[in-house]
Amino acid sequence: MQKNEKIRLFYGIFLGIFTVVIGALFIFEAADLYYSGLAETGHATGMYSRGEVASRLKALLAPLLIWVAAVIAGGVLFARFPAAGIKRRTDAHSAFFRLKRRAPRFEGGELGVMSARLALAEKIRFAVWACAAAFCAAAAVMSALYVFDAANFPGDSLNGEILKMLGGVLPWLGAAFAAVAACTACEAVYAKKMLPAVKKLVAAGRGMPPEPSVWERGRAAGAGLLRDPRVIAGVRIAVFAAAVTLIAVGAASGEARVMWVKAINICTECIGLG
Amino acid sequence: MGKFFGKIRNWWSRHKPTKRRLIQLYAALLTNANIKGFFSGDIYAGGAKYFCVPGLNCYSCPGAAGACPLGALQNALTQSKTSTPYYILGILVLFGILLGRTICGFLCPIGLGQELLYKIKTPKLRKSRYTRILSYLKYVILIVFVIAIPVIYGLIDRTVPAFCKYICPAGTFGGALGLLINPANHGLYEMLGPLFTWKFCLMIAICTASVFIFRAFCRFLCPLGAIYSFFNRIALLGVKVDRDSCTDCGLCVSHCKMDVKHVGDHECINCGECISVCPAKAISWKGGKLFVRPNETPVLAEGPEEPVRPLGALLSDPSAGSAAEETPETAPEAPSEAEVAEESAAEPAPAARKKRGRRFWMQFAAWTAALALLAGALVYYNFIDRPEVVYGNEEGNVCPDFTLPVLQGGGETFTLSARRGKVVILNFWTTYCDPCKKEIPYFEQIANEYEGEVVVAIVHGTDVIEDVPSFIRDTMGWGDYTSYFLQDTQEERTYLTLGGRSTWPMTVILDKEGVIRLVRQGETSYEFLRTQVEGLLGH
Repeated sequence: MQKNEKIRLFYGIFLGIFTVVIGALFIFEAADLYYSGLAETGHATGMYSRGEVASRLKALLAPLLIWVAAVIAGGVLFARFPAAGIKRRTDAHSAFFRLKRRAPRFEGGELGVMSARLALAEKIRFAVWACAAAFCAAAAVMSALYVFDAANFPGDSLNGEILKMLGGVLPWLGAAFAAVAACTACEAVYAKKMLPAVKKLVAAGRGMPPEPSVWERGRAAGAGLLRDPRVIAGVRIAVFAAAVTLIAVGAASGEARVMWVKAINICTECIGLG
Repeated sequence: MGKFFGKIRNWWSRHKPTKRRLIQLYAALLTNANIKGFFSGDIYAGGAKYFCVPGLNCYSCPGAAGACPLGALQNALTQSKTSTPYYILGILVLFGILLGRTICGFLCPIGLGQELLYKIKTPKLRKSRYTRILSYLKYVILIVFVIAIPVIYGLIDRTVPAFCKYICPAGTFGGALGLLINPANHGLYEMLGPLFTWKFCLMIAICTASVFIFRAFCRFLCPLGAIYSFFNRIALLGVKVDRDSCTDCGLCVSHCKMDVKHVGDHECINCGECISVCPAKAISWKGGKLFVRPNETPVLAEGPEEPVRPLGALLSDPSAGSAAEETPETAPEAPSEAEVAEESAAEPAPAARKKRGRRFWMQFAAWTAALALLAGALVYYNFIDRPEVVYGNEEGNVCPDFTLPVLQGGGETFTLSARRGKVVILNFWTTYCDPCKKEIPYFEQIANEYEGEVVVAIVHGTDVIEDVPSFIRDTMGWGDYTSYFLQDTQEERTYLTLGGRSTWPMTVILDKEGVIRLVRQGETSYEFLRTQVEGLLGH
C-alpha cells in the first residue's frame, strides 16, 4: 500500500471510530438525563430545566470540539495526501445482466447448449423471484391487516399502540427483507457462474439480434410506451392539469387556510415536546 | 509567495463548491429566510406559510419561511374523515411533475446536511444490492406513518402526525433544538420527556450514519423522497439517457452513490454527477420542454465525436469478471475550457460568439434573478413582515382583566374580574391539537370536584378552522360541563397577553387575588392540577 493510502486509511478509521464514540456519548447523555429525571421525581420534570440541560451538555463540549478539530485535520490531511485516483468497482452481477441483454440465442453445438442452460437458469431465476415476491406480498397483506384495522388503535395509549404496531409489523418486514436478500445473494452466485458463458455467447453472436428473456421483453414493452414522446407529453399535461385542479379546489374549500393555521403554530409533538 | 498563492489557487480549483452545492445552500437559506426567528425564539406566522416549500423543512423551525409538505399532508389526512386533502395533494403532485427528485438533489436542506456530513473523511459504507432492498423501507414508512396512522387516528378524532412525531429528524433539529437554544423558550424544557429523548437519539443516529452512508435518511427513511420518486421518470426536470448512444458500460450506475439501477429511475436524485462520467455522452439534462426531444448536449458535442467504449473492450475487460476492486484509474474528466474552446473553434466564429454571448446573458439574468429573490426574501421576512406579538405577565403579576364570549351559547360573556375570590384555571387549546383534547377532561374533573372554589375556563385560540361548539358537542361528545368554554378574540388576544408562544396547550393558574401563579406550556395531568389547586386553596 502506498504511503498516501496508508495515512488516509488509518486516519479515516480513527475518525470513524471517534465519530461513533461522539454519537454514542450524545445518545448516552440524553438517555441518562431522561432516566435520572424519572428516578428522582417519578416524572421527567424538574430535571429538564435549561440550566440542568446546559450543564450536562457542557460535559460533552470538550470531546465535541476535539472531534471538530479532528474533522478539520482530516480535511487538511486528505488534501495534503491525495488519493492516487478514483477506484471504479465493477462486479460480476452487474456485468452479467448488462451482457445478458445482448446475448443471442444459438441452436445446436456448444453454444446451443450454453443458450439452453442460460434459458433454463433464467426460468429458475424467475420462479425463485416469483416466490420471493409472493412472500413479500403475503407479508405486506399481514402487516396491512394489522395496520389498517382501526380496532388496534383505540386511542387510549398512543405510544403503546404504536409500539405494539411495530412489534406486529417488523417481524413481517424483516422476513420479507431476508427473503429478498437471500434471492439477491443466490442471484449473485448464479451471475458469477454464468458470466463466462454469457461472454462467449455475446462474442460469438456479434451482429445477431439478442434474445431477451420473457420479463425483459415485458419490461421493454412497458418502457417503450414511456419512451414515446407523445405518451410522455400526454401524461405530463394530464398530471399538471390534475395538480392545478386539486390546488384550486383545495384553496376554494378553505384548505389553504387550515394548512396555514397549523403551520403557524408549533406542533409540539412533531418536534418531540410532550 | 507566488508559489503559495499558486497552491491556494490549485486547492480552490479542486475544492470550490459546485453549482449544485451553491444551489443547495441557496435553497436552504431561502427556505429558512426567517433568520430573526432564531434570535426571538418565535416561529414565522405570516402569510407565506400558505405555501409549502418543496423539501423537508419543519414548519416549527424558527427560521422556516413556508409550510412543510409532509407535515401539512399528515395534518390534512387526520381530517380525512370530514374532508379530502386536495390542496396539499395538488401541491405535492405539482412539485413532483415539475421537479421530481431534483428537489432531493438540489433543494432539500436535509439532503444538504447529509452530504456535508458525508464529506467527513472516514471509511464509507458502499451501496450494494442489499442497500437497494433497504431503500424500499421508505415506501413502508410512507404507507404506515404518513398515511395509515394519521387516517386511522383521524377517524377517532385524534391528531397524530406519526412520521413527524416519531421519526422526522428535521423537526428535532430545526424545530426542537432551534427553539430550545433560545432563552425565551425556557418554558419548553418542561415538555421534554421520553418522546424527545427518543427523537433526539434517533436524530444523532441518523447524523452519525450519514457520516458513513451517503444520504442515509434520504435513501432509507424519507417518505417525501418516496412521494417524489413516483414522478421522477415523467418530471419536466431531471437527467435522461439517450438509449441510442448508451453502450451499457454501467459507469454511471457504479459512479452513482444512490441505489439506482438505471439513471433517472425512482432512486435517482438527479444530481447530474453521472453526466460527466458517461464516456458516450449519453446522459444529459431534461430541459423544461413538454415534449421529449432528441439528446441535446452542450456545445462540446458539436465538435468531433468522442469514440465510445466498444463492446469488445467490455467483453475482454478482465475486471468485469471479478468482484475485486480494479486498479485505480482516473475518472473521465469533463473537457477543459481549452478543449471546449478548441472544439467550438471548428464552428464559424460569429455563430459561436453569438451562442456564447447568449448563454452568458441568460446565466447572468438567472443568477441576478435568484440573488434578487433571496435578498428580497431576507428583507421581507426579517424587516417587513413582522407580525405584532404581545408578551408579558410573568408569574407574580396580576393577570390583566379580559372579557370573552362563552361558547356554550346565549350571548353570555365571561369576565375575569368577576371571578375574584376564587382560584381561576385558564387552559388555552385548539381543536387541531391532540394533547389539548386529551387533557380537557382533567380540567372538567377539577371543575366538578372543586365547584364553588375553582373556576375553570377553557379558551380556544383565535385561529379557528371549524365550528368549535359543534366540535365540542358532536366530535368530542362533551355535553353538560361545569367549565366555561370561551373563544379568544383578536381584540383581547388573551393567549398572547399571557405569554403564549404558538404552543398548545397552555395552562395559566391564578390565585384568589388574580395573581398569576403558574404559566405552563404543554400537557398537564390531573395529579399536577390537583396539587396546584390544593396548594392555592390551602388544603
